[in-house]
Amino acid sequence: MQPSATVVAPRLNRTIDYRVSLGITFIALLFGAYGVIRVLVFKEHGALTSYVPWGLWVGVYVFLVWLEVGMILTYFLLRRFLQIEGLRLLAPVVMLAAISALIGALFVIGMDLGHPFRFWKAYLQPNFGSLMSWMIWLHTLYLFILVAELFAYFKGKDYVDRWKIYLNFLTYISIPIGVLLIAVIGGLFGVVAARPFWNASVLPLMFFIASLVAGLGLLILLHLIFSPTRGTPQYERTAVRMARVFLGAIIIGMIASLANGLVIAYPNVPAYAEGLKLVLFGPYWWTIWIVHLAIGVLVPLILLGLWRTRLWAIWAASICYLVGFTMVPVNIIIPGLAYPMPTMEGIKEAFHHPKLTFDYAPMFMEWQVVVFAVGLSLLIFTVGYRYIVEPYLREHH
Amino acid sequence: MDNLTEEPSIPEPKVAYPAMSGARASTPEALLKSGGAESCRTRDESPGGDPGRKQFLAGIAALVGLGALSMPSLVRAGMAAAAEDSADAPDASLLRDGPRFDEDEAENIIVRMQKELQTAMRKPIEQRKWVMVIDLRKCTGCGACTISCIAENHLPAGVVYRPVMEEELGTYPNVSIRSTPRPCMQCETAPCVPVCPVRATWIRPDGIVDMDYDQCIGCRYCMTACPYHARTFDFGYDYSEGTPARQPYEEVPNYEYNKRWQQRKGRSPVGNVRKCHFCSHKIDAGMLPSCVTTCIGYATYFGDANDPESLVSELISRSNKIRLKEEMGTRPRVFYLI
Ligand code: SF4
Ligand code: SF4
Repeated sequence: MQPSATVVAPRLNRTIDYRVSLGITFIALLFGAYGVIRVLVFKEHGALTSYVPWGLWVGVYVFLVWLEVGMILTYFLLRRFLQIEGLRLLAPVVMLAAISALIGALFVIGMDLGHPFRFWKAYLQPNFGSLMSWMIWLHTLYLFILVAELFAYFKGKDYVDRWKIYLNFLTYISIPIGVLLIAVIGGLFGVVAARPFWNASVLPLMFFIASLVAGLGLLILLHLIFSPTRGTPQYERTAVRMARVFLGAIIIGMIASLANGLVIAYPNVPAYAEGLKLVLFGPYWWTIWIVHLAIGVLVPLILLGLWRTRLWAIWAASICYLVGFTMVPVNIIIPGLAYPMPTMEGIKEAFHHPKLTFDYAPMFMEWQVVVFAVGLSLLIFTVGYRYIVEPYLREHH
Repeated sequence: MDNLTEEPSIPEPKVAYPAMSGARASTPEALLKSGGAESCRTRDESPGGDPGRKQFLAGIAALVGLGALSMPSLVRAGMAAAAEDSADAPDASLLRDGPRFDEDEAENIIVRMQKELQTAMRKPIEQRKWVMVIDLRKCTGCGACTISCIAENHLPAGVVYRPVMEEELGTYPNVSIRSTPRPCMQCETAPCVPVCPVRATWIRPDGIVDMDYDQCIGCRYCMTACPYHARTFDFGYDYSEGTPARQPYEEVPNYEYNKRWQQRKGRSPVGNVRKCHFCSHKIDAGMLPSCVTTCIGYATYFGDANDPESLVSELISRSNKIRLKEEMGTRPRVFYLI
């Protein structure tokens, strides 16, 4: 699509928007700072235990990666394959949002390490037989690609035009790398034969579908908030077309999850079904029934089913979906760990200590760290928007 | 010590294990004489140690040693009394053939394993194959092995290498309790090893699954991969948590993996994953693992499965041996007799 003559001034270009965004960012950072201090200075690890060694932080990491990769993949799919117009100038916004999510993800996973300052060992002394090494390397590569693309936008329109061929190349290679990254993260859990709940699910595929749907939800929101076509008929047309795809994607995601759940539940083998039972009827049943299924799936389905041509419905559906989806990775990771393996049930009572238990509920400080990570992402997005995206869009304007 | 020598000589330990480097170091001869109880007295008696700590730990060692030495006769006395009391005592011939030893042998079983260990240590490391055998019919669930492991490796609160799992079997009036000690299985195809992103854990040529605390980044992936819940994370807790001061015994370093590790927040092994290593630092110094020498029921055996004459080779050839979660194909080096 050619740059539209009707492009209007982008959002956040007014000082007031910028200040409000910065204000929210600093509140988030301030709120989360003490949690980060408790991790880095007092070496605390929240409510994690030796039997549930991964928890909220790993869940948030997975969620942010789904967003960051899913956003770029769907952006590419919508533009190149479905030929949806009105998205071209959203590219720098998408890149920036992806980088912001990526940095938040890396931060939160860094906090999860017992020795965060040894992270460099994963680069200099990697074991490529481990999917975790692949995850770290692919994620870093992905970061470099996104930074390179964003740097081009920072240099301006002429620069982008001049290096167009290389930028296109980067975009094209970012697609397989993104797909691989998601598959590797899904595989990282899926290959663990010791955790039947993970092992039984086709997690690489499920993560891929989840990433596409969540990424699309965020992409719609980015379009609604930041699209330079705002105020033009194109803006609404694009939103409605995206909403249609979104509705289809939610339905596909639902069918895939249902099929996966049924395969685990039907034989009712305790080793496999226990995790699913924890998800559906465990102490945090409401996160899946109310937050995910009711708010995150049912409401968007109704909204998009009945009013998918109305902007307010598209707004509400994408927000609900994203909110509802936050609980999904946590509901995959924690239940996979929160029960002893078959024949090892006696381990529960074998030795008593608060850190030798299968009960895990995130502590306040863990939420603080998450809020700090979100604040960090917001900070990068806000500043990046002001100094990279806005000048670039202004050139087009 | 890895070379085969014509004349069987006492291996010279190369490691900086305090029991071997101190003026009153335990020698293998001393160990043989003491029936292995010497191995309980380790670094705590090395010169320069804190006297309070020495007394404390010597007390524990003495108690455990006393228990170890006196238990066979106590158990025998108890069993005799029980047999007299019970007219319904099961016919001994109906019991399955476990490792039964005559009196002298029972008292020298530790000595035998110690000798076999010494013999194995004269072979190159790759020719040794350490295995542990635990006779569940003899385990009383007393937890002496759990405690001796904690004492030997100075494990902090929240870290345990050898818990004993208790299971109640049957329904009243036909009930029994099975106690299953669970060390690290030192799996031959250990699923915890390939997942480590920084090669901080690997399998030694003699089969022990090793760790490098200085290399471990604390990602805990290996913990999720272990089907036996055998890895615990060192969260940096003290037993004196919430009390006015750390206790002297918490200041004592441990010597796992033949290195000196001081328990301090922010420094390894705090922030690392920890696991049983068959007391590899003791093995390398020619001694049996602590859980073996302190088992009051002589229920834990250790040795080289590559030595056809060894006790463990005898035991693992029996039909009543099992391994936990065998179906996973991890091929544990810990066998249970049932
Ligand atoms: S028991 Fe667990 S920690 Fe030990 S070697 Fe096997 S998988 Fe690894
Ligand atoms: S916790 Fe340490 S040993 Fe375990 S996988 Fe991570 S780096 Fe490797």
